[in-house]
Amino acid sequence: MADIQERLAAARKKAEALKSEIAKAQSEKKDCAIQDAAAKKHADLKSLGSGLKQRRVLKGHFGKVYAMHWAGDNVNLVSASQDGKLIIWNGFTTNKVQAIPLRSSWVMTCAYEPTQGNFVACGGLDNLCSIYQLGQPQVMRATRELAAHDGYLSCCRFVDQDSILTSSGDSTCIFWDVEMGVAKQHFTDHMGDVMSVSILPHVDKNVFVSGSCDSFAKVWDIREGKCVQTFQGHESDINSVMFFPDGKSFGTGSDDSSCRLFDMRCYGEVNYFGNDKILCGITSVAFSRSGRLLFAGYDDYNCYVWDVTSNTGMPAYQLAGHENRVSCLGVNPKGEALCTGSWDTLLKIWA
Amino acid sequence: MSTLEDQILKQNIPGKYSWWEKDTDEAGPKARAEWFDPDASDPEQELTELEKQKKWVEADCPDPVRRTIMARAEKERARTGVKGVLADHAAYQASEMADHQLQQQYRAAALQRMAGGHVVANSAPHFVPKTDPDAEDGDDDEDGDLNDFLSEYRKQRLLELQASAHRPIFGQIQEASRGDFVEQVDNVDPRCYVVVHLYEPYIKACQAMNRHLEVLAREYPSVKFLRMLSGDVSGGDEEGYDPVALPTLMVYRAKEIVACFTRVTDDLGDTFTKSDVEWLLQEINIFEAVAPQQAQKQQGQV
Repeated sequence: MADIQERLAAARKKAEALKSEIAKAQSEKKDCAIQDAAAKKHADLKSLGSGLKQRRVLKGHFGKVYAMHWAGDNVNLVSASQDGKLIIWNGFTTNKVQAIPLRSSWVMTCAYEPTQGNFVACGGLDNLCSIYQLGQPQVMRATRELAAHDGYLSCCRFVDQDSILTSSGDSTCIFWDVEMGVAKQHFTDHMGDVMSVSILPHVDKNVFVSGSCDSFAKVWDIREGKCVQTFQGHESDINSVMFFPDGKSFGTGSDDSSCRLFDMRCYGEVNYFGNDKILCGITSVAFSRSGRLLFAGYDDYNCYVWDVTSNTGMPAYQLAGHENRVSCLGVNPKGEALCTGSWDTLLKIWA
Repeated sequence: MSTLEDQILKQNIPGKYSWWEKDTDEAGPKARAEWFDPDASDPEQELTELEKQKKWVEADCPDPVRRTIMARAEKERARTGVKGVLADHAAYQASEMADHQLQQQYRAAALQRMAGGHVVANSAPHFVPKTDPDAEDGDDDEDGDLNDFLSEYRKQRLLELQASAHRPIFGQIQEASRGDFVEQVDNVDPRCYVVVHLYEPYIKACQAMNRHLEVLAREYPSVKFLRMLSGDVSGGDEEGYDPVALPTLMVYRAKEIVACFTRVTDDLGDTFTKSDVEWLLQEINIFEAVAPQQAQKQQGQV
């Protein structure tokens, strides 16, 4: 009896100390603020170069551009629009490589297969992830239609030719076998609509991050189908997540009008990008090649560029070129060009 | 080749020019290197977001974009991204629903009219329901118009219903005889005008007048139209009504005679039309108190 009492007391003591222990461990990991570390090594972004210029304008859509994604070859890109078409562009020459009519014009996301570039995927309010094979004379039908989600398809990203990751308004993510057209793994820990997923297949094929309307971002292990880390901090829906190029941290854009940088090594938020002048939500984020710059598309007409290492609350740059809201953006894999898509039906490439 | 970072972070690196650069680029907008203060008075910024958007929408934008933007702009803060698509879809469904409801209301109104026992000429609504958003060409703020129109229509319909609830509806020219003439004229709502036509079937002007009055009776169902053979005026032994004065129109209201037009052809000419008769009667404002729908139509016709 006494034995049990002792053990209980010890357990309680341990439990009580747990919080402070974790906090201690976290602060140990978080040995230095990112801006201090940056200040030691890097120059401030004050002495800036000439900055980005608009280099290309891609005209061809007849409706709002809803989503875009770069191909692995750094030149081609795919965009999805309200006019019910996917267009494959050669961004460099601005030529249209292919136009694919969709069955549903309420498309929310599109993705280019990064390794071979033979497939594009898209999805939206039809709850399907439709996969189209490119390079055929006339693509009229989807090669595969992946059906298992009970809500709209908010985001899809290829891992490689054979597998794709999707997120949905039914608050789950699914890892698919494209060839068989079946769901291989369901990820169900989120409490709200999952808005975005990000994976870096060339860094780690087995880990992806998701952002959700429950204001949490979660890191998942595809092999186990389990959530391995949960990040809180945002006060509202997370609309967009993007891995930092090293795959160890990720950036988020949220309805609370801030972008944040979370680090998986220290289990927490390491930087905050926002100020009290910015009141609108963020719908898309992307990193430059080294990760120094964070590009964020806002619900108003703006697209700001943040210096990841500073937390002054001032964006380093502002990209203004669209006549209407910027709905999506992406940096090509080589980090040479930024593409923004807008409600004004145009895509613009900045370099 | 240079990455975005080289472009932004480094200056004038010799030989480091963007792969994407080309000569024609110079006119394109540049990223602004400084953070602007939204409160500062930049003329561009003085326009609110909504105004900017409106300006753009009015200038030139493809139709489907305009429709969804305008439908949403007033109601809620617009969004982009996934939620933007959801909002667009909701707006589209709402406009579909509004169209559907409007259609139903028209159908109900038509049924009501039929049930009311009279048929108003040219009353079929010239409304083509929109089904395909891509096929129609809409006005700039068509959804705003639609809403305005809907509420306007509801009000109007309500007025019509109220009016018809209180006033008797005629809609047809009726034959009167000496026996029931007084009753026919006196036993109506005191607000109603009663138009009496004295005629002889062999007079061409009277035949034309009867035809015109038939149409007018349908158009102005709140006015009572009567016709009576002029031979009926005299009791038989007395001297009959002088055919020289035909066609004669008499207008009564609240048992009192308001106007009397004898030998209408003197005023209107031998080949008078329906609108001539309408004009004549309008001179004494007998169509003034009709329901708005008819009033509008009347304006269109006069």
